[in-house]
Amino acid sequence: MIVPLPRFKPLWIFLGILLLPWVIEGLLGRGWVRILDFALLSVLLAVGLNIVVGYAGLLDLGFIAFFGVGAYAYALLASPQFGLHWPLWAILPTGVLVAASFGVALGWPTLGLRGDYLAIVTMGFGEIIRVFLNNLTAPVNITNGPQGITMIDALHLGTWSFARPHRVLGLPLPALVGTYYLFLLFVLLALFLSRRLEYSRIGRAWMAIREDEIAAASMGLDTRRLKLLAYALGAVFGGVAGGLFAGFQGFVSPESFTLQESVMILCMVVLGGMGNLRGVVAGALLLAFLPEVLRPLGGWQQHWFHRVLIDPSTLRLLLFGVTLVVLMRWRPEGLLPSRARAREWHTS
Amino acid sequence: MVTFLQQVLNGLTLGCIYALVALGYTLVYGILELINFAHGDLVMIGALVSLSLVRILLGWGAPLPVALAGGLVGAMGACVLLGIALERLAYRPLRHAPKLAPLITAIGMSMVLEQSSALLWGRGYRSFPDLGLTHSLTLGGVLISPLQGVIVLGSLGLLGSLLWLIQRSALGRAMRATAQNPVAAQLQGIDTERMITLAFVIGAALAAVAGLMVGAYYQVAHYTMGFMLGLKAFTAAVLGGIGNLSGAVLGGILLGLLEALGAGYLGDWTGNLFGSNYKDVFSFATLILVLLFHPSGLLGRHAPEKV
Amino acid sequence: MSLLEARGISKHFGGVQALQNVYLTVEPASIVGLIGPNGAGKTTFFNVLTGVYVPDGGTLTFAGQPLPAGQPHRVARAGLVRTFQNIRVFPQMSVLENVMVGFHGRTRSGLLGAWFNGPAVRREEREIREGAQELLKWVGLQEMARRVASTLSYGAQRRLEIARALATSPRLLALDEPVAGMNGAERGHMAELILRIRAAGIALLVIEHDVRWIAQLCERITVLDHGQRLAEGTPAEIQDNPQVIEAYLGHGSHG
Repeated sequence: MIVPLPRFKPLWIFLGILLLPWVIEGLLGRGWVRILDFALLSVLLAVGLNIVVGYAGLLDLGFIAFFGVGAYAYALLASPQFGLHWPLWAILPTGVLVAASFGVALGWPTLGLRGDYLAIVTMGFGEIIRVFLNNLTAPVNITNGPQGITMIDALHLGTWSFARPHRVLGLPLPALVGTYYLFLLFVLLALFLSRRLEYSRIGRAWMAIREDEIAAASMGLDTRRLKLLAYALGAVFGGVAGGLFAGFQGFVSPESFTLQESVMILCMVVLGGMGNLRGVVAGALLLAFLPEVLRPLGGWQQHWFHRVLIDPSTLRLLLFGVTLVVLMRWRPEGLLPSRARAREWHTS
Repeated sequence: MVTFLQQVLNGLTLGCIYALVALGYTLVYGILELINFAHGDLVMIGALVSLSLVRILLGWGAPLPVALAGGLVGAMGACVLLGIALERLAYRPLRHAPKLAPLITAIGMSMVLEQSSALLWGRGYRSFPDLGLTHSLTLGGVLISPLQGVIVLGSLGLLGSLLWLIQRSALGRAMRATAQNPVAAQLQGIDTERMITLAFVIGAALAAVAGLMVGAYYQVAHYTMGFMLGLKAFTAAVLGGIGNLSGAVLGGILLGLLEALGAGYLGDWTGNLFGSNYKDVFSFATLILVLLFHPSGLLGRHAPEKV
Repeated sequence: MSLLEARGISKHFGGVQALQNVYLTVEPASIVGLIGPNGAGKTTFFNVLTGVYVPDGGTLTFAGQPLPAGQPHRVARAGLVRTFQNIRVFPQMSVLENVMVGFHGRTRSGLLGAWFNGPAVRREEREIREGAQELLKWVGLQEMARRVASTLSYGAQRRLEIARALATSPRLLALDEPVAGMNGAERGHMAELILRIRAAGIALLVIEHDVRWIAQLCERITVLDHGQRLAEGTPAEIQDNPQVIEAYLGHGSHG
């Protein structure tokens, strides 16, 4: 069978994606390009979690741990913490290996568990990783505790640093826009790999396991190994996103890797529509931007009521919660569900 | 030995609170197979409401028992109302939706509850009024406060009578029937929707009690306190075998003991490499081990999957 | 040598003895019926056989090798595949995809294959697809290939389950009540399909209530009652066996 590649998009969509950071910088300012860069990392994470939750149907509430592992791998290999300054092309494969081994180490003993139990075990695992990040300071100071690791080397390829502006063909390329293109490259690669998997022998096996695990095993599918593969792959995507995050932000600390973050990524996947890449991308972008869109709430209150009635950050999270509830009530199958998921909902 | 007894007592106190909260998770899960993510936040609401009410009543010159009773009743009322609202608004409309949808609404409701509390009580820590119950007596070298006595005896009494009620009363039977097989229960004339509401009501009332206790015990309440507490209580419910009421109580008390003993001894065992700051690791690791060797939890029935 | 030999299989759940010392053999390319009243332990026996449950006692030998207990996927790969009483197709996948899943154990392409999608992988996919279409034609579902499995009729879903099982290239196909809820004409079609499968060299073990229907198909019948083997013999012997008649009449007759 010839794998259906993402349908050839009209040229203007492609151009739109390329020009997006310039438009955003022009209209909204540089801060929003930064937000856009972070949003791309969210997309990368959501696409990774989608392999676990959307394709293989495993509920993972500790996904952020792999992001954390990747971020700390980058931080330790490229910062004054140990005096190491590895290049990106060496760090990323290392991070991938580390994250994958964490995924296998957790998945190996636990993937036989029923769905809800798996959820709590992954949640516990996420918390365990965070506690270790917070406390691994003795006998050797590895993680530097709650202060985290600072002065991490900026993302760079050879002498090209993504933290500095450049000139390309005589045109100025701001650092944040350069980073956008780097992240975009990773996102496109992740989407491509995911898409190929979805329509492969392995993707089909995952879907069978999601639909009926016992029937799948009875047809000769090694369900445990296949689930482990989904798990490890998800971990790899998470680990890569973590490495990019550490290099982009310049510092990491345990508070970026809380359960709330795991939950947020899960929300991106479910809200957008599990199993459907377009939905997952939409969900990730929506949830990455929503808090930012709601940020100027204080200013609006000032404008309309001439004083701040409600603490803006509280109001922001409040509206966020309400949005989740309303969206799920309105479209429980997600915004852009995969065809199978939509059928599941409308036939039950 | 004395340290050991001290840790056991502290663990028991904490464990009783976990048990109260775990019961709420297990009641709802037993019937709906739903992880009520917002349950921990009801405990937080219980703590903050009782904190405010006790403060107000004491300010009016009410004697301590009256103030406490007032705080408890108020907290229970608030939590029960919220519990019912939660079920009606967030869970009932999604009864037949894909499995993860209610989980997302639950997370949304949890955020709504937390942020509303931040609006009402502020984002800072609120200190609980001094009840004068924390002056410890020494019993064979072990420090015990009257408050600990009240928490342990009160919650054990409450849990005991509740378990007895659910085992013995007609209403309890109807609830258990609903949990076992909702369709059959409905055919027997049991109003299953009412049973579901009842599960939320009982869970919420217990959460209110736990809220008051945990607030008084740590003498502080905060709008995010429900999260970790809820996570631990859910862990306790799974440890005991989720859906099993006695299991939730056992799991809660065990988890409390494990944590206290782990916090007390982890450092000694590992040459101070892992101190009490690893106590959460200790409890989650125990949970993972239990699930590996006895996947249905300690008291959960190991039912073969229907094929 | 027998294809399947089950010796002294026992299984209990808590205090309930679901199977007690059950013996059963299946010869290569033969059809064996497994009958008995409701709750006699027929499906439990299937579950033990196919690795869903681990037996408490007894041995299972398949083609001279012990069957791996409690590992359904390895049982299937050894060549013993089943269908389910309460139909378990993958409901939201297409009919064709359902059958393609059956080829999983016989194909190899992995992660890198999926990503690079080279000529070998594309050829394998094409072969799986053509094989699946072939099997669908064989069971008479070729027109339905693109439909979502859950939208098929009851009888068609049963045939889909059989096509999916055949895709694993089994030596023994175990069918759990293949004609339950079917009318006379559909039963005839199923009997015809079963005979065709046997003609292709595949042995069948068939659970059924309807003694008359099964008797016209198979060489030997085993009767289970209360988890024990009540009788074993040719269809004629079984239909004349007073104990079997008693067991069936005593439980309310099904056939």
